Amino acid sequence: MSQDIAGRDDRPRAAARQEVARQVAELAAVYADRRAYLADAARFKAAGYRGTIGYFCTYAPEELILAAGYHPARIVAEPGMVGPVDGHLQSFACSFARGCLDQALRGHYDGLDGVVFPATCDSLRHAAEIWKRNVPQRFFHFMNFPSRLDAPGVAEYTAREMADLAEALGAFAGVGAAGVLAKLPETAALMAEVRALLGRLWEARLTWPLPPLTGTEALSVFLAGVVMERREYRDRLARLVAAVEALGPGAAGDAAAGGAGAGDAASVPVRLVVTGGVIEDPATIRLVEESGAVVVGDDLCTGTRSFVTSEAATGGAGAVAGTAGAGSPADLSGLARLYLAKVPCPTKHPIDRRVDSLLGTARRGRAAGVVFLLQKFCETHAFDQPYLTSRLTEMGLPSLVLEVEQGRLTEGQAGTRLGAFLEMIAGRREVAANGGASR
Amino acid sequence: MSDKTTGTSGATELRAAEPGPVKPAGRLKADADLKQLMGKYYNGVFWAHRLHRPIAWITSGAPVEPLYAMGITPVYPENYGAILGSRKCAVEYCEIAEGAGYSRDLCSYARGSIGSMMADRGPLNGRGLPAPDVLICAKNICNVVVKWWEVMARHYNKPLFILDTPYVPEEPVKPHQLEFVRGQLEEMIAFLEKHTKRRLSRSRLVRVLENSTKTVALWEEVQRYRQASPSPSSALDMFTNMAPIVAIRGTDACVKYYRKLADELKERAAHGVGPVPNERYRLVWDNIAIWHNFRLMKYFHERGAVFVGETYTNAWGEYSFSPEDYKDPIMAMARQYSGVLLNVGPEVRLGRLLKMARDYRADGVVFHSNRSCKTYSLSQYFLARGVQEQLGLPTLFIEADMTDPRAYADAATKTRVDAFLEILEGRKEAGGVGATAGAGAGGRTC
Ligand code: SF4
Repeated sequence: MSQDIAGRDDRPRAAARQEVARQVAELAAVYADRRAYLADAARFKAAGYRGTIGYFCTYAPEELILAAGYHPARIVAEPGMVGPVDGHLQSFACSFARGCLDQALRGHYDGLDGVVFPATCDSLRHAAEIWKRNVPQRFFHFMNFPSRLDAPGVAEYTAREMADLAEALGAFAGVGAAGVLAKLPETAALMAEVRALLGRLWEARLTWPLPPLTGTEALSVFLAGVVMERREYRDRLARLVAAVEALGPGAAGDAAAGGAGAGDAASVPVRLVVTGGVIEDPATIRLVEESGAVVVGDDLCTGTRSFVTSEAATGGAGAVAGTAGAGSPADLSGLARLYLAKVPCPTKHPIDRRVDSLLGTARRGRAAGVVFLLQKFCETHAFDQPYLTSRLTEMGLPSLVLEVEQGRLTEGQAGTRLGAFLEMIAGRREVAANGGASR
Repeated sequence: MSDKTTGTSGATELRAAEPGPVKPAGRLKADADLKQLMGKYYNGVFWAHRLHRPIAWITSGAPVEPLYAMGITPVYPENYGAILGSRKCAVEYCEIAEGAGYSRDLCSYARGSIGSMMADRGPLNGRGLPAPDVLICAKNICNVVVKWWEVMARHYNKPLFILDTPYVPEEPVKPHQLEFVRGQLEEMIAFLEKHTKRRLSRSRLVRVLENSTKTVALWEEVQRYRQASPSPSSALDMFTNMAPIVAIRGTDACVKYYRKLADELKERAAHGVGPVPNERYRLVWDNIAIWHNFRLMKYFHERGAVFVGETYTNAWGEYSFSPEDYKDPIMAMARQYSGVLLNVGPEVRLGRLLKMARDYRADGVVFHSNRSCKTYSLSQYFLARGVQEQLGLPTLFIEADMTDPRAYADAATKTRVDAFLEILEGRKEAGGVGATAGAGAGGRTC
């Protein structure tokens, strides 16, 4: 009963795995109940915060919000809109922008003291302007962030935009820009710890023969971290990383290793990488995994792109994601360089680092396929997809494109297509296991 | 393509006859010159390589002046997208792009041009546009062009230059942002010099900027004549007549053309001649034209409604330079190209729209909610509320797509137009016109 597929005693492993699952469930519960968590002003007061400031995307510097004495809470949409957004944004605006705005217009974010929008796409820029005029908050800042990451003087320009944000936050907090900058080394160090811990988890998922977390669990862990008080999150994450590392990588050739020749190919979960925008509902990944897959890596706004540098994603710089090559910035130019070094999102140019990161993730994760989770009406992702698909094909990797609307996959359709996709992969693996095809 | 030889049938249900010429004006005389001018431009495009002139594929919002100063032929895939729309063949090319995986939700200019590029087919010369030697893209109109230009640069494996412009919620642009753009403009010139083996002479650049400024002044003059009643031209004329200011701004031929057009409109205005002689409702249009359906414009005309201004054509009045600017033309371009209509905040856009509605004594504003162009469309509800609240003018929303007719329902649109014009008529009868009438009448319901 307690033997793994290779006939080894797997009881200690099962217990360790249970501990991991327990810790993940706790984090998932925080995220699931995020409105209550964020509404608990006493919690943040007790932890020394002046209040809470919302932010969008992977390019808003959380370090600065923290340094101004505010808790940074990432804005994510909840599935299902009820409508006030229809009076402000057309139905062909990106469904993520519409979802967030709808929630805000319904008062879900009234408890925030303010919000920070970094420049990304056209839809979110418009959403920012509508937010500014219609959501009752005391602080609003739109931070320009370059679209062209290789422009001359781009680091200085980015640092200058961050300085404007520091100034605005400092004025709002009553500590001035100097007060914010004085705290920056400390908050940057905290965020560097968080990123390094997340990096270890992501690295384990990607490279271990037995991924210690499912993709669904990993997304829950990540999402808890954009809601929770960051020191508390860091501590919980450190415990989780310890539990995961106690679990160990499993052995090559184990059931979930996923490579050809791993025994009974049909029973082995297929290793997948997912790529796309903001996935705010872990159930979306669960749907992908339910069909017999395990998501070992990602290229999502709510995942890798938030905390991994492209250098790390492609396996360079020691491959520990998160802080590789960037360290813990002590000033704005360091912070600017860190944010510019992240795996770029599709609103950024040039595309090379983005492509290399995705291909590198798939290669290092020994993925058997890639699933695109495209937000309905997200233009930049839609533009990149045919090219990314062709690059994956060149690499011998099949891919599947699914559309996400209001944070969710349309289940029936997605389930069928995923099933067919995984069957096709299983077929390829069988051929490869029998010594054909790939040669 | 201008098509305004409107018959008068069915034109008068909603309005009482008024004194004035009964027959609407026919085509502008300048249209023949326009056809020739743009024909010559496209000939030049198709011949460029044989004449050893480099070709740059460039966005409509990018600084074209350095290209003209260097003898590089600019080619506008957006303009080409509009041609596909007005020649009613956009769907054919969009479907090629869609077949290659480009979502139908993407900008139809992009889909159409990508389709034509992939198939190397098109309505001009039967082939697609001639291949670029370099590609130049300014982000100041949208993020879409960055992705679109990347696709084209990969297809041809040619060097691409992206000019990144910071968003400008409120003018003026901040000094460090101008510096960022300026640095890139310098780099863009070096890029062009490197890849086309041509040098930029600053004095030639200034000469081209002077021509741009003259063109813009003439364009504004052309627009100003539309303050007359009846308006000497409508949106139909202006949408077609904007082609030179987009594509050949900065050339002598462009200046000459607009001089002629301005003279003709001046003459028309003086003699009360226009496409809708018994003008009853004066309207402003927001967003890009519906290129595949100019009949809709005629539908307005037949009911006594004329478009006296468009935010789209008006936007081309922004690229002007002063003698002071010629001392530092690069910085001047950085400033001008950062403050364009689609790169500024909604308040600035609203201010420009309200000014136009006031200057042109508009009775209402029509918003083309253009599924293709998010950057243009997504602040329209805010703009409409501003128009209603600050000027008391009714507004109409038309759901369509600039070139893809699959996203347009003609009968439903016409019903809404009828209802809108009835609201305008009710206001006329009640004696309320323009900004003096009650706020919110008509609302966004049409
Ligand atoms: S999205 Fe709008 S501004 Fe951008 S290329 Fe398309 S039509 Fe032009």
